[in-house]
Amino acid sequence: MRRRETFPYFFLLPALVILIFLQVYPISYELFLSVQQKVAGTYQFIGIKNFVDLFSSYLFWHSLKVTIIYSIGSVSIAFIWGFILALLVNEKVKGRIFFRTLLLLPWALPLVTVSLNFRWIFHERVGLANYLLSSILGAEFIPWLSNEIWATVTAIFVNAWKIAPFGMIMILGALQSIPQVLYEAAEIDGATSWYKFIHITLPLSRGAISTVILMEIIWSFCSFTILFLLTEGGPLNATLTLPLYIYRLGFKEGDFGLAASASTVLLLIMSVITIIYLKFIKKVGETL
Amino acid sequence: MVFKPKNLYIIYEYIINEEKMSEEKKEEKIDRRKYIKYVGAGAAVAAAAAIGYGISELTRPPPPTPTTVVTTVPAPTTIVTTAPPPTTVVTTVPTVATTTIVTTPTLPKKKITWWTVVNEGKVVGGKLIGASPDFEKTVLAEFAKQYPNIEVEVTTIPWAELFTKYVTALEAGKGPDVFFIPTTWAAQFIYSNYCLSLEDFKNELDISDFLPSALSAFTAEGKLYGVPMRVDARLLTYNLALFEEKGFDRAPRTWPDEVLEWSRALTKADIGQYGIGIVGRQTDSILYEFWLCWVFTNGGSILSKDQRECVLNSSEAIEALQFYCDLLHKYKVAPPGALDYDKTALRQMFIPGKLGMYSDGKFAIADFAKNPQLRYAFDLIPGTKKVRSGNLLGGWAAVINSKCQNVEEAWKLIKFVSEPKWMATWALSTPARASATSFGGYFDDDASKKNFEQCKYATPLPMHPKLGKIIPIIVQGIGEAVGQKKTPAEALDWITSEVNKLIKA
Repeated sequence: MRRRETFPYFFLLPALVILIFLQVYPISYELFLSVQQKVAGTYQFIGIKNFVDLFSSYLFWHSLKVTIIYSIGSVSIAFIWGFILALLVNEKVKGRIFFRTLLLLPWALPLVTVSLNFRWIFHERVGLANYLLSSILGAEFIPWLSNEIWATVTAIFVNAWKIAPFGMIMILGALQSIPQVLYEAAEIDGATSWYKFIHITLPLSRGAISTVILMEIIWSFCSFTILFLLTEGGPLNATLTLPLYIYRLGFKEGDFGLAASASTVLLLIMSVITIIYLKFIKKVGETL
Repeated sequence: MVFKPKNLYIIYEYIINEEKMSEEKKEEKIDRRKYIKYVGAGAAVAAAAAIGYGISELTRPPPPTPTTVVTTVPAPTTIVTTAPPPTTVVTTVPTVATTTIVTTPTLPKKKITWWTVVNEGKVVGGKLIGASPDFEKTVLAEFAKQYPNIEVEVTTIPWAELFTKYVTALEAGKGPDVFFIPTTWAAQFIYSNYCLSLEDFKNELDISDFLPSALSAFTAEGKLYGVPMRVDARLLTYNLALFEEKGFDRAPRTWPDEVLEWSRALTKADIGQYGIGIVGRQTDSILYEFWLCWVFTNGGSILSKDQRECVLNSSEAIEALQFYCDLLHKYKVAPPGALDYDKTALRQMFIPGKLGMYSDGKFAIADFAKNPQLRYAFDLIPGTKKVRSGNLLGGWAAVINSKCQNVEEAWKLIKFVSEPKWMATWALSTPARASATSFGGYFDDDASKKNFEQCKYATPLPMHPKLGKIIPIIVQGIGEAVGQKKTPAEALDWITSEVNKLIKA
C-alpha cells in the first residue's frame, strides 16, 4: 500500500522539477537577497535593515499607492468594457466572428509594440490623439503624458485596453453556457431584459466574473512593460508603480538587496490576493 | 484506446501487480476519490506555477526583441595546421550567416563571448558604415585571420534592453567576456566589480592617442577599466529654414541673452512652433540636457573636487537651472509638456519644423536622413561670455568581465577592435582616439567637426562608488523643478542635501 501511496507522485515529477527551477529557486534567491547588502562587490547579511529602509522610504509608500490606484482603475474599466463587449458579441449579429477577432486583437498584440505606439499617439504636440481632438472638435491640446493626473488616466486606459479582451472571452464563454431555456422561461413569466440580466446572466456567470476580476488585479499589480515604455514612472513619479520602483532600485541604482525586499512585500501582497482567489473559486465551485 | 488521464492510473496499477490487475481495477472504481485527490494535487501545482509566473514577471527583465547572434570561426583560407597528423576536415554549412570549420585540434581553441549594442551605423558619402551586424561580422572575419585559435561569439543587443540584459547576467556572475558600456554606467559597473582592471594591459596601447577625458570616464582610483571606443557630445541642433526665415545666419553662442533672443524670435505659439526644446522626462538622459551644460559653463559642478560633497546648490548652478526652467514657464518659448519629453520626443517636433533648436547629437543624423525636406545644422552648446561651451561627456568603451576565464584572448579582441580602422568604422559620432578621426574620410563632415570641438569642452560624470544612487536623485530633483513642484533653488538644495546624506552614510 505504501508503494501505491507514493508512486503517483512520480507523475508529478516533471511539473515539480520545472516548478523548482523556475519558481522555487528564483523566489528563494529573492528572499535570500532581501536580507543582504552588496558591499564592495560581495553580499553581506544585514538582517531586516532593507525592510526598515524600505518602509521608511517615501517612494515605496507612494509607489504602493500608485499601484493600488492603477490596478483598481484598470480593472474597473477593463472589466466593464470586457463585459459590455461580451454581451455585444454574444448577440446573433452579422459578422460576429469578425468582430470577435477584431476585439481580441489588443490581447494578441505584443506589449512593447502597443506601449510604444501609444506613447507616440499621446505625444502632446505631434501625437495623433491631440491632432484628432483639435482638428475635429477644436479642443485644446491635452497633456496626456506630461500631467500627473492625465498620465495616470492614460496609463490606466492603455492597460485596460490591453487586458479587456481577456474578460470578454471569459465572460462570453460563461454567457454561452447559460441554457437558453432559462431566458425563455423568464420571458414567459414576463421578465424584462434588465431583470433577466440581474437574475439569470449575472448569477450564472459569477465564476467567470470572479476569475476575470482577480486575474486582472494580479496582472495590473505586476504590470511592468506598459508603464516602463509609456511613462517610465513619470511624470514626477505619478505612474511609478511598485514593479517599476523595484526595477529602479535593482537595475538603475544597483541595490538588489533593497529591490529584493520590495519584491518580497509584493510577493506577500500577491499571495494574499491569490489565497482569496483560491478560496473564492472553491466557494463558487461548491455552490454551482 | 483513447488516452484519458484515468488511464495513467490503470498503467500504474499494472506496474504494481500485473496478476492483481482485475481485482485492482475493481478497487480503482471504488477508490476514485483518491484518484481525484492526485489529480487535484497536480492541478494545485499547475495553479501555483501559473500564479508564480505572474510574480516572476517582476524579477524577469522586459521581453527581449530578437537579437542578432553571429558566430564566426576561422575562414577556410586561414587554417594552418601545424601538428602532425595534418588531417583537416572542413565542413561548410550552406547558409549565408554561419560557416563552421572543424579542424583536428592543433591547439585547443578558446571561445570568448562579446556583447555589444546594436549600432545603426552612419552614412558617409552615401554609404552606410559601421552598422550591426555587418560590422561585427567584418571585424571578426579579420580577427579570425589573425587569431585562428580564438573563437568569438558576438551578440548585438538593442539599446533599450542593453542595461537590463547586462546587469541580469553580470549580477548572476555570468555574462560575456567582452562587452561595450556607455560612460553613464561606468561607475556603477566598475564599483559593482563587473569589470576587470586593464592596468596590466594598457601599456600595449598608445594611450596618448586617446582623448584624456574619455580615458578618465573609465578610470577609477587610478586604474583603467575600459578602452574608450567612441565619444559623444550633445550639440545645439537647429532648423536652418526657421533660422533663415528670421534672418539668423548663426546659432546663439551665449546664454541667457542670445539663447533667449533667438528662442523668442523663433516662437510662434499660435501655430505650435517653439524656439527651444526643454526636457523634463525623468530619465538619466536629463543629465545631458542644456541645464547641466550651463551649470558647467557657469563654473558649477555636481560634486566637489575631492568628491566628498555635492555642490549642486551653488549660485552658478541655481542660475543655470533657473534660466532653463524660465524658458519653459516664464518666457514660454519651449513647447509645453516638457515632463514627457526626452530628446527623442523633441526630435519628433524638430523634424516637422515645430522646433527651432534643441539639444541632440550627431547620432540623430540617421533619423534626419529619412526626412530629406529637413534642413538642419549643428553648433556648440551655448556657453557664457567667458566659456564658449560645456557639456557632459558621453561615449562607449570596451571592457572585460571580471569573471572572464580567458582574459588574454578577451584582451586581444579589445585591442583588435580598438585599432584605428575598426574604431573609426564603429564610432557613430567621434572615435575616442585621434588617429582614428582621420580614417577614410569618415569624419570630414561638418557635424563630425562640431562634435570634435564640442568634446573638448566635455566633462565626464564623477567616478563615485555611489553614482548609481546619486543619478536618480538628480533626475528626480530636476524633474520637479521643470514640473514646478519646487523652485530651481529648492530643487537643487534638495538634491544637494539628499546626495550629501548618501555620500556620508
